Amino acid sequence: MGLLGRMRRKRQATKAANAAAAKEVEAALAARKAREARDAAFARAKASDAGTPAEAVMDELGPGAVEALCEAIGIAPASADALVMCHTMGVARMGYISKTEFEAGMVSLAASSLDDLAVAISRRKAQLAASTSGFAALYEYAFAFAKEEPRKKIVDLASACAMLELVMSMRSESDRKRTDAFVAFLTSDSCTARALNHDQWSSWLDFIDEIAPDLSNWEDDGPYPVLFSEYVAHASRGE
Amino acid sequence: MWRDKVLAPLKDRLVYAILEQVRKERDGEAIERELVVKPIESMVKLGLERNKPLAVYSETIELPYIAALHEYYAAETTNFLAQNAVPDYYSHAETRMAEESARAVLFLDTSSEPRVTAALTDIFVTAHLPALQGEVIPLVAAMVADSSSESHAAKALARGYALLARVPGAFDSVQDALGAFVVERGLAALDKLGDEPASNPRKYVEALLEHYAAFRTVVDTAFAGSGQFSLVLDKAMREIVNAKPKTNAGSSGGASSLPPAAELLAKYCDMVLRKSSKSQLEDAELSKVLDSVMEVFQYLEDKDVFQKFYSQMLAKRLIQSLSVSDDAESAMISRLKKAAGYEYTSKLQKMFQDMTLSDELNASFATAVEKTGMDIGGVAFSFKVLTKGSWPLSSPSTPFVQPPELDKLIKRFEAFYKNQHSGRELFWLPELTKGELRTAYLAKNHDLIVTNYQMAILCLFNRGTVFSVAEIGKLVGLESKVLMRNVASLVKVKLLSLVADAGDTAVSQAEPKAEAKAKTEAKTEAETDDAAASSSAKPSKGKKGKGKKRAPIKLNSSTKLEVNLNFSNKRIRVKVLSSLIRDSTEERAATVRGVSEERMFFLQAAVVRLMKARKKMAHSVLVGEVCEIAAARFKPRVALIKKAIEQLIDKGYLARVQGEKGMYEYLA
Repeated sequence: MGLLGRMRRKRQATKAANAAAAKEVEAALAARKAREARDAAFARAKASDAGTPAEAVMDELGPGAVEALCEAIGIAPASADALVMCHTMGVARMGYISKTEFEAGMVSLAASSLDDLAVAISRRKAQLAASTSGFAALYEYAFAFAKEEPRKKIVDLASACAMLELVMSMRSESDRKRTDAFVAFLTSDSCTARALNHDQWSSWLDFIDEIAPDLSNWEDDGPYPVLFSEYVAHASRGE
Repeated sequence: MWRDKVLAPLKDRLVYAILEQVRKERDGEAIERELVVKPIESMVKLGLERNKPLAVYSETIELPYIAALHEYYAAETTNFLAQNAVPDYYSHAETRMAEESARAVLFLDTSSEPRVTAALTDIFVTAHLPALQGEVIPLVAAMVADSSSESHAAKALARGYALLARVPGAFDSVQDALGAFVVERGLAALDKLGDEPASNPRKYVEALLEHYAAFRTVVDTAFAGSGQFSLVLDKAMREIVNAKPKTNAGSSGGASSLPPAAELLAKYCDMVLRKSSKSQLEDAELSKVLDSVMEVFQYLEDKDVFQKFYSQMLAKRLIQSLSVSDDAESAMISRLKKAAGYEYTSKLQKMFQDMTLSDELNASFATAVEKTGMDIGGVAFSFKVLTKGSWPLSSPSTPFVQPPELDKLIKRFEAFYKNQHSGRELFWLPELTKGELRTAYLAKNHDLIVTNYQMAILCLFNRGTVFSVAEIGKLVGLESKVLMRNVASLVKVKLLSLVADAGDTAVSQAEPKAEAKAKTEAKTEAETDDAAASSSAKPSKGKKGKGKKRAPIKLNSSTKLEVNLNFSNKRIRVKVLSSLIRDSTEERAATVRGVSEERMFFLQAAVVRLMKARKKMAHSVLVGEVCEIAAARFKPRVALIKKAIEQLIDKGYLARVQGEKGMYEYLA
């Protein structure tokens, strides 16, 4: 009995081990397939770089390829979807996607082909829009992404406004309207700022979340950057 | 027994009879007072119930008495007010209240006193509060206009104050109205001065103090020196002193949006402390004037602006030896120190000390020269060694080659100084230097008082007779703008004259034998600028006058110049200094710019210091504490503090705490 029992247990263990091993092999195979698929997807995207100077760098998609990639998966290059894609891939420089970034993004999105990518991006976009912390991270990324160079600390007003509109297009209609009004102020003559710094950029999201649309709970001496005092003054003048 | 059997049935008739007597007395009839006093006394004695000994008295007579008081005067006061002016009512109420208090003492038990007093206050004051309050400001106005403390208005106001003082909170609205009135009057008084203070700051200070004194008298005499009203007055004065001028924002040089008080006050100090031929103040008088300056100073918010202007003017006075006296200067500095603290005056003090040290240095150098028979080129000298950082001076704006006549002296002095203080460096500031040259080529020898630059130019003519402007520039090393200015002023006083191109260059043997008595300022580095404010008015006028008659002098780099051998002047000492004058509006703009830069720097430093100590702080707390720190120097706008915080965030010293609204953290 004792022996029998032991044997049964041993057999079961072996069976489990075998099953695990089989699974591992399966996973490895799948992973390889996925990697190959990703490689193929990357190669397909890279092909569009032909004829541009970026062709020389094999492990990176240049501006031409990135644009073509967007086109291939059916998103506009200057859209929230493209921003979500770059954010997911952790793209460091606008217009350039390295192979590592591309692969990390594909893994994160669980996509293996360009055809999967479009669906996965719109799913991710919905997730980000629904999550406070997720959107905050995207919003934060958008500022860094809008910078001309990573070393620079500010984003010129035109790029900042464009990016602001882009990222806020994922929010509610009321938030979008408020952002439109803010952008209108930034580009008006009553705005003295010529660029936005990081603090001013991130304060807008706080402003939207914290300050009532009718500005009734605004305090001029509060912790917002002075630019926002100017905005509120501008807004209350009814301009 | 007595109470129930006798008093009870008679009560109503008795009380009526008593009150009727009292009414008659109020109407001015003579009554037999015993008839009132005795019955009431007996009621007091009827204190039967132990825990409420005066219950019978209170119920039977006290309450009806007070009710009658109300009834009688409600009509009386209303009628009186309808027929008489409020100030008359003040005295009427005063007399009537005094009468009633005395009557109550006579007729009623002492325990009733507070109740009667309260009733009187209700009747005479509370019931007519708005009317009584409304008269205060007109009376203040009348009192200020009259100015003698014995005036009718003053007396009425004192009465009104005493009446209103009986009602808690009665002054709240009066206070606000008074504050507004003081401010309005004060601003109007300043407005009336127009542009005058700019040229005569004394008017400004006097107008302010006169205004203050008038209202101080009101508070002291009519309002019994009330602390509450003193505060109102102080607040109003602060508002007046720190008010920005309403008009001519454009004309007064857009550079500044600063209130003018700080600058005017500093100018006034300069006026008083500067030597002038006109009227010197006696010591006692001077001390009074300085005290009056300090009175205005205490209300000043922009203490840093005052400091800036004051130190510039002090620098000029000291360098040009234009102070009335050392005692006067140090008297003012010690007053400032007392009012604003050691740190505020430390630079002023240092400047002042430098003067004493320089005197000692000159003396010891002179001794050394004499002892060792050092060759210093036969010139008299006076050096001023100024500590870098304490003086509002800038380093010279142009290169410059000292005339060879001074070369030896300067070298020797440098050596002497470095020998005494090794490791210190001397930077020369010829821009601030003036010298005296004695002419030897004229019938009458003149002493020319010139700038260091002009001296160098003139000394050239010891070595040659004709120089072109370009040659002078090369030899003296001055930048062309400065060169032109200095040459032009020499030509203007006709020490130099233009050589006609075709004209023969008359060879002259005349040599302006220069005996330079050089006053030379040296210092261990420097910053801002200098303008000879004292001589600014006269020469510029002269310039205009001449300009009309003569064609303006045209100088260019090829213009040839020679010494005017026919130079003549009524005076033996001739001042040629005019080129020291810098554009004063430019200088002022620079000062104002400097102030706002320093403020930003100060605020950032304050924020960093606080954050470094606390690590984490809420926005409102931080702003509040920074305001407190800055208060001794200036009153920062919150927006400015916010800007400072933003810049620090930008530079990575601070960060907003994630997830905690309005919190900052210090990043080490």
